[in-house]
Amino acid sequence: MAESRKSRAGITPGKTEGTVWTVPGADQFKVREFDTISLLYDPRSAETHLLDAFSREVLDTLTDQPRSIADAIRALTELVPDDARDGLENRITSLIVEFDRLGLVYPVLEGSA
Amino acid sequence: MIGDVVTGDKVPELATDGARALRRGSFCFRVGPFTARVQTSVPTLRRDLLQIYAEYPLAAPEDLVDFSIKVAHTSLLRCWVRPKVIADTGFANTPFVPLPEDLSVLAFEMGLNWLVGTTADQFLVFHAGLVARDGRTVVMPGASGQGKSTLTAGLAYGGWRLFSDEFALLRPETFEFHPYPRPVSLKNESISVLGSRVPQDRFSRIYRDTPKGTIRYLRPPAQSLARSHVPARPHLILFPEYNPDAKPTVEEIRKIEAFALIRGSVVNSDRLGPVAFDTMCRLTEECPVFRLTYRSLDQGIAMVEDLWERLP
Amino acid sequence: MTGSRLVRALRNPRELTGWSLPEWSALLFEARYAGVLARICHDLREVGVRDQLPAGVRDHLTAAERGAALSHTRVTWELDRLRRVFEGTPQKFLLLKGAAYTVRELPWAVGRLSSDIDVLVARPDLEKVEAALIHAGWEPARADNYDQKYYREWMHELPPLRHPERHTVIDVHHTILPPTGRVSIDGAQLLEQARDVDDRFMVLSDADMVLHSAVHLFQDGEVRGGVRDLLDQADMIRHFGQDPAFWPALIGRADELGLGRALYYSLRYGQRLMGAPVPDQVQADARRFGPPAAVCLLMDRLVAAAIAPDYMFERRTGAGLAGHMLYLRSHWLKMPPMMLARHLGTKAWKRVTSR
Repeated sequence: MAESRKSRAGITPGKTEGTVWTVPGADQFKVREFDTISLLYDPRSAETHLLDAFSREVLDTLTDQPRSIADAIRALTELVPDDARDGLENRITSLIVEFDRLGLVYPVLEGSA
Repeated sequence: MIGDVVTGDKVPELATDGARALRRGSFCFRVGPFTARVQTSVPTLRRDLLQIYAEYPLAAPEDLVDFSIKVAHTSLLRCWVRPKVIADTGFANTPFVPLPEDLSVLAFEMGLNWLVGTTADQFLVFHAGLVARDGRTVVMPGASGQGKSTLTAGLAYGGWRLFSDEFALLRPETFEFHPYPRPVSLKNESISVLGSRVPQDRFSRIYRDTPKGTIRYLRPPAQSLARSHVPARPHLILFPEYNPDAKPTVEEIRKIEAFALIRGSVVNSDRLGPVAFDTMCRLTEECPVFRLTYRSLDQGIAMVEDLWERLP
Repeated sequence: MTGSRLVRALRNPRELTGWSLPEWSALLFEARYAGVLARICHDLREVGVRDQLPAGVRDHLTAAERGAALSHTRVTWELDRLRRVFEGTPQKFLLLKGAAYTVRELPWAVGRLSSDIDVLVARPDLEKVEAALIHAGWEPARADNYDQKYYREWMHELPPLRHPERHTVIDVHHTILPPTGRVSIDGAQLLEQARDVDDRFMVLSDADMVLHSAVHLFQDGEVRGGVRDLLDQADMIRHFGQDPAFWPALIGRADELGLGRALYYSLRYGQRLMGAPVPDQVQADARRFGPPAAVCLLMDRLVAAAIAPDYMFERRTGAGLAGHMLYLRSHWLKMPPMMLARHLGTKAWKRVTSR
């Protein structure tokens, strides 16, 4: 099972079950908040990112503890009032895809160190 | 001084230290924190430099030269037929284009600006106008355009100390701006607007058919040049917009938008990395940030002064 | 051979505390031009004299260090992004030049300014690697039809791939010299002796690293302003040469790959100009790779003149011509004469019409 996963070319978030996402650069981030927006400077990429409150929450959730997308959705759903849960899964998934693209989060394959 | 002026109002002809130095190729003068060395055999440029930079301090032969610039004809043939000149900073990959010989001083200015924008990373460098009063500054970030330079020049000749109309230099370690007073490049209508409030001998001659239209350089006030070694603290950040058709407004900008606008005006934020981030955050946190829309130079100046008075 | 100002500064940074400001003015220009100012900053820190220097000089050093820090960040980040693309696949990459020095944290990784990444893969893997990078967002840099064709047919690498957001470039090679040159090397030979850094990246063996740098300076591309390459080679000699097994491996490998001439020049000028500690016996062993005496004398003069730049207000007239002669010689080695005439002819034509 592990072998067949590794031989697939690349990792696509949301399509590879069991992928856990981590934030290895968190110790180095410089974060400042203005109003409800967070500015995040990542010295590893020399990029400055703008995160709204929700995006920040998602990133913090993964920083606290590496999680799969499904786990992140579960944890965040609890924080969000019922009437705002529509489309939550999609939003969280797209955010994690974007974080991956920006190099803020990294996938850890199931079964690897 | 370059012009070796005693009376202060007329630039003497060739028998000066500056002229001699220019001919020898070792004409060095101080512009704010930098010493620039210029070499040129183009007579137009020699005359223009001696007039425009007359009140700038001449550097001593044993001073450190920060920037070296040559301005020369693009080819031997070009000396005779519609001669063109180009700036040479010694490096490859520069964006300079040949200009008509009459506009040699523009080539020099471009060369110097490029060097400051690409190698002065001891500072956080902003595209901004910058003036000061009582040890505190008003910085006006924005891309090169008529509004910013004209307003900066108006304030400079209205009792404020001119730091720069082009580049604001902030030293991160001390959180102070350093003067970098350049001749203010005024275009088209701005020339007459300033011309009515500033003596004619403060201006260079007219340069026509430049890539940006008609230009005249306005020399910085003598007092600004005399104090160009004295830094000042950040205090107020303004984004001025000249619009003769709009209602004049003063609007405070939200911090997060202010940060984005400030960052957009910094030339070297990449190279300063985390230092740039911390410094820009500190500016955003500590300085009030406003957008100003004004209809005329007089009104713009009045609005700046009014805002300055109202701030703690 | 007496050292130029820049070479003296590189060989003995301690003496810089005694330099006058006019000497510093010239050095700052020359070092910046040659891309070694940040390296000199590092050396001054290492010997503990940076704080003794005048404030104006220190500002320039600070500026140079900041530029180099960004380049370092860009290289390490690009490697991070490259790893991400191929996560979960078995594809491996042999890193070349700056990226290799950086990932191995070698002494001459310090103060580099290029952020291009050069990698080498097995020839059969070229298309698949290119496809994966393009799928992940990189774009081929040259749009021109002629240059694309030139690259794919004659060169040793794919057209450069540029990332549109980061503006960084990855050059994917299958060997280190163009296959149409007078000397050619099969990438497989290099891969065979490469060393793993981790499960994704490899670097050349020590001997191959020296030879690659030597060939880059003395046979491939322009030589003018190549002081940094010669400095790298001197550093490599100093670093790798501590292991006595390095020397016979270096000579043997030069023989095997047909790169003796470049090695000869590297050892000769590395020692004469940059003070590289090459054992006498090694210089003797390398002599057989050298050119006829007359050529050697000519090269001595050309290289000394071309290697280090001059302060723009002190230009010696010889350097320009010397640089040109060496450039023509380099292209001559890259392509057989008929092809060269056609290629240079086309490039000149394009330059005239695009003005």
